Amino acid sequence: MKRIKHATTCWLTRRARSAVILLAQLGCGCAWAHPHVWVDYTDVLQGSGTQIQAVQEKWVFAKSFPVSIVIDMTHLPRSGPLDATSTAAFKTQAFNSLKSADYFTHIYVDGKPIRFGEPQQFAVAIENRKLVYTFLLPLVAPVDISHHAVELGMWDETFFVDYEPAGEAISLAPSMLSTCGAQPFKDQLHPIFGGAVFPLAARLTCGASK
Amino acid sequence: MKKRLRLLLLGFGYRGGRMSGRKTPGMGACISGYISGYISRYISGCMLACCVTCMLALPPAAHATDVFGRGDDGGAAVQEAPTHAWAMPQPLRELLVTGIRIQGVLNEKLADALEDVRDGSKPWARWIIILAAFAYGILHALGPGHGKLGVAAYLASHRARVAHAAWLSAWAALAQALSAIFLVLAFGQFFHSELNTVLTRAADLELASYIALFAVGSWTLWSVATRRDCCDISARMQWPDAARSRELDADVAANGDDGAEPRPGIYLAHAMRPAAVRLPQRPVGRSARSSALPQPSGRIWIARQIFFTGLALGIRPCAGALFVLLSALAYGVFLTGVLAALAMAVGVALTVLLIALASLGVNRALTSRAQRRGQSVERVRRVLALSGAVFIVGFAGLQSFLLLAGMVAPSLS
Repeated sequence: MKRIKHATTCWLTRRARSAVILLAQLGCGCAWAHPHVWVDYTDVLQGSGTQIQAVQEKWVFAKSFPVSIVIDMTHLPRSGPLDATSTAAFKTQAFNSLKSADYFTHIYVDGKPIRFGEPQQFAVAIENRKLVYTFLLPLVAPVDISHHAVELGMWDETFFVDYEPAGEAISLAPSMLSTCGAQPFKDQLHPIFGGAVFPLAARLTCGASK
Repeated sequence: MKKRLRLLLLGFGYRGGRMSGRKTPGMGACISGYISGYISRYISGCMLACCVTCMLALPPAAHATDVFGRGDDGGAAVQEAPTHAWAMPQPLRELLVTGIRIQGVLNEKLADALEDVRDGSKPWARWIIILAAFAYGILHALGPGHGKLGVAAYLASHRARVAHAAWLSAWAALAQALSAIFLVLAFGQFFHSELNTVLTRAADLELASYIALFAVGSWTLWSVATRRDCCDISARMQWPDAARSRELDADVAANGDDGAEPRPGIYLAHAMRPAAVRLPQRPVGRSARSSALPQPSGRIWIARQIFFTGLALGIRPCAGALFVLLSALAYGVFLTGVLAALAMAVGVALTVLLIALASLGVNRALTSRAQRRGQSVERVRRVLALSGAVFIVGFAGLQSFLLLAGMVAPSLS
């Protein structure tokens, strides 16, 4: 009788544990989204010598991006930069909130994530009928890529936004040492969308290690 | 007086339920039917009130959801690099990535075609929109959301037919599209100055959806627990051989239930007959262990279940449909946007239907397994129904709690 009771208890415990794990996984699973916004990006690392100080970013949104939520479409130019009022509206309503996500820019120094300062030179323009953001994202402290393993990538962990590289997506500014460069690779350490997508990142190297 | 009261209760109460099979229901059954009818109406009223309140009457939310699906509650969140990153198998990953790329292309086509409709430059642009939206819907529903979990949980735990699965998938997808259309139309027509809050409102509907799902799940749980649930009785399963059944009837009439001559196959036919026949002293639909309602009440019950489950799942609009509708509204071609949202819903319904059919298969496999093992099919189905309802209530309750407690921010799907 005791053995039956023990077996029943074990069975129930196993089932309860499975149920809790399943519920937890479902709870986490709800945090995933799937892409609704598509962005082509280019990142140019700014700095001098072997030191990087900031990332100059350019985001080109797909035409389906709902611009009308932010500003009245009649205020949109056919081409060229938006006026200060419209730019401010975009900054307030569709940019500042990205601070919590580090503007989807992920930089790892020796495997550890580092923070960015406040973005600068935020501008919005229309190019080829598409909305374009440009801004400079400074590092809190400069990083010497000749002494550290540095990796940079662009992705939204929730995958609501799909960042796709535009051409040579990550590169170094001409002001940096010519022996330094960025080698693209699939970042298998940071899969998104439940392990379905390995985002593209770049390993920054200098000199002999290039 | 007692008779009048009984008639009054029957008139206003739930006409289905266990009392329906009886010619002269007792007072207790009348009151029970009245209460069940009242509760089901109360739940439906609560759900509708919940939807309408959340969509229009709630004060501006403390949070705001932007076009990136992000809240405005700030706070830097730099993530530590995980050492054990889980990845899907490569073929599945490549398939999903290809699907996502195609979605991007279709999305771009949709935007281009909307511009063409606005400019009137291409007469076939509307057809392109419908086709692109349909294909986009099929692929888009492969991602999380769109009620797949709710549909799967419901169908895996209920004796439903393929037609029920099709109705539930189609209704959930249509409700999602209608929710998006209604939301954008309301903001476009009446609250145009607050159009920038439309995504916040859409995200708020996530809570309404979970609360409604919790209500429907509770109703199902209550129905199953009190044996007021029903499902259609599978004719093929219950009546495997009509000729043999008639033979059995003749034997029972001649010799009584115990006097039937044993013949090959007779036990199977006997075992698979409804309890009401095996126990002729009990009226049909009133057997102590049978939870099945007579067919007409059963159809109503399952139709109500499909309606409310689909509605609960579809309250939360799909952000994909919202974005298309918003673009169409901005271009002054809202009706084309509505067409696109509906075509997208058809595509979503097809994908959800695949999941629904798989869930039906799971239900049937479990039932068949129980049959093969000589277990009580009814008991297995009851356990499945209870588990499904408990799962839906638990999941919807957990999500509602997390959202209400502010532990999780409302999000777009």
